[in-house]
Amino acid sequence: MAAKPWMKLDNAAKIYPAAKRRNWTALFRLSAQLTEPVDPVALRAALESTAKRFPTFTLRLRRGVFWFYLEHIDGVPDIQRDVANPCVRMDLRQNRGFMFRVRYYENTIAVEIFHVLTDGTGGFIFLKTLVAEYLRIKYGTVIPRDAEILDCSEPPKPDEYEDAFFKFAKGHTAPRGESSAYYLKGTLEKPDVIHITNGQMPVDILLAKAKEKKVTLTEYLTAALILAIDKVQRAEGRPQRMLKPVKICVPVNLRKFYPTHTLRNFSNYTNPGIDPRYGQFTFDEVLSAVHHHMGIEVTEKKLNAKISTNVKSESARVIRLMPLFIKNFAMKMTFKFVGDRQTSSSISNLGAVKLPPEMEQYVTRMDFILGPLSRNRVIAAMLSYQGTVYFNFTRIIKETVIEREFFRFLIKQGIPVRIESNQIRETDE
Amino acid sequence: MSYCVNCGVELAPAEKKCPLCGVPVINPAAPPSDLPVAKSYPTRMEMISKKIDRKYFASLASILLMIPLLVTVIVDLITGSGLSWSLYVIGALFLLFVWGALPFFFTKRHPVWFALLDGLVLIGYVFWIAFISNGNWFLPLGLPISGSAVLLAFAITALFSDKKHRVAGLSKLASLLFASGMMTVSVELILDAYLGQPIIPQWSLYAFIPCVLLGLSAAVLEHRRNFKEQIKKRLFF
Repeated sequence: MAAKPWMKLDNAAKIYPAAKRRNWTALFRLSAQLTEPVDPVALRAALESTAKRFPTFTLRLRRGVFWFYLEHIDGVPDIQRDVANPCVRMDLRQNRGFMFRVRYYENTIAVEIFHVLTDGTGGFIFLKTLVAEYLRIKYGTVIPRDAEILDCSEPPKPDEYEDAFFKFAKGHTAPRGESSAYYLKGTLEKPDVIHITNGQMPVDILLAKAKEKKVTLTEYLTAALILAIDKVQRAEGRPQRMLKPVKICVPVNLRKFYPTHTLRNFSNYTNPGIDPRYGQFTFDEVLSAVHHHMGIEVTEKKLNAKISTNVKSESARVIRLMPLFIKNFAMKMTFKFVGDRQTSSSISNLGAVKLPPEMEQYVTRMDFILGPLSRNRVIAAMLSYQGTVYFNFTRIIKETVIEREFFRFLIKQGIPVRIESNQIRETDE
Repeated sequence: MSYCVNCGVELAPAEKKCPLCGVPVINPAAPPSDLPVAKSYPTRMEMISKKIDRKYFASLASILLMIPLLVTVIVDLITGSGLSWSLYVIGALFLLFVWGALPFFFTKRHPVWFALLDGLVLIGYVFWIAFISNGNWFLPLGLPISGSAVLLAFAITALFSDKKHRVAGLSKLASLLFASGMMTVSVELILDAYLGQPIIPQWSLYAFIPCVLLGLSAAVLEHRRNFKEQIKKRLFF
């Protein structure tokens, strides 16, 4: 099938072009560390071959009268040398219209993707295919291809283009309102300063700890983060009745619930948390709150109601017929005033990454990093690979207090943590 | 392999201090070697340039100013004999250009010099009006009033933009109040002189005295840290 000349933005992507600012783009980053230094020439060839298989990536954003739309562009973005501040805003014009970039540094291949194109899962399929193509071109490795590592000799499939939100939304909606949450103000850095703090923990110990408490690994770490933020909020010295809820946004991959091969956005989220006004929560209480919240919220029925709400508001005739500049302004305001106000931070977990053994022998490490958000100034993304959890904090304030409390708490639970950072120099002002 | 003595976390070899708490890594068993350690991240940063294309904006604004200019000149030429009323518009547009567009042609900001230039152009415009309308009020009235206003505005800009001695918020308010008080008095004195009346401030005192008193209280409050803190607490947003 030939590349579609243009397409609509999917339901979840619609907010991102409106929310985009001169200094900020909603980005996320996926990277793989190889055993040997990356060869940019082979990487370029790999990207060219991968891009042909992923027509949903070679798109640029255009303005229509009523909506933004995506238009196919030929070629691939130039391979870039990596920088110390990942996920710094993407200048689309400088990037020749492409909404993703491929970067390399020593042994690492990284892709940074604007959320308009796809979500973490879609991006991860892209990275894995890119690395597989790179290994094929560089070392002649034969890697078995499946739905996770696509076969680049095949043409793209139509169901990879689909807006799965529209396909699966059943129509019954759920109210969207939620109380706003506590957020850490801190001292904002300049927009180009992005701190990454990476914590590495052994999966088996973490899993054993989570199992001991009868929760999942995500729930365990979410509860630990809630407790860390709760401690930070209490240390600010506000009276108990003035405390705000501490909630964490946990993205949910909807592909687990619906049969789709879409390479575009198909995820939702849920915000487990506690209300500290009710008193000091113990770790077990937080764990229980998070676990049961997930039990109710992360179900096909509930998630469907949530995506139906979004689909319905997009399909409303009044909204569709509103000219883009008004709609854009309205969405900008919505994002500014609702956006990430309902949560204090977020943890995006890509889960346990399994690569075929042919590929695994070349890949020593993988990372998932979220680009900065607006009000949630410290956020986290994680995945596990080869027995290690790689937990990455993204921070745009000077204060390291949340990471410190979080990792110290895990140490106290008996989980060894290895810390690494991108060591951005301290900035004045 | 080093651990942070404060946090208990193991630190990557490239970390010279704990990224969580800032405590430097001191490991007597493994003194820091001069050999380069593999870092997981590059050191080069991508900077976001703050530069907005000011010159582009300025030239665009200048071209847009040409539209009303040409329209008035043409209409004036067609309807009357030669340029008459459009001369006012030409002067006003020139004033607008100097005030609004000219500063953007410069990459550096020079607020003080531009304040002076803007003031001089303003006086020039007043003169231009007097000249076109054959008025004889420029020297006795127009020049002194606009001149004193320009002088005060220049002084205030110079005071506010002095980077070495930053003027605090309430002192700024105080100096603004003093300046406006002085302005009212000078307007009255100049008017008195123009109308041939005895040069004594009368009505302007009603504006001058409150201005001075309010300005004085602002200047005094500036030095009351507690009071300022109270105001800040209540007015924060």
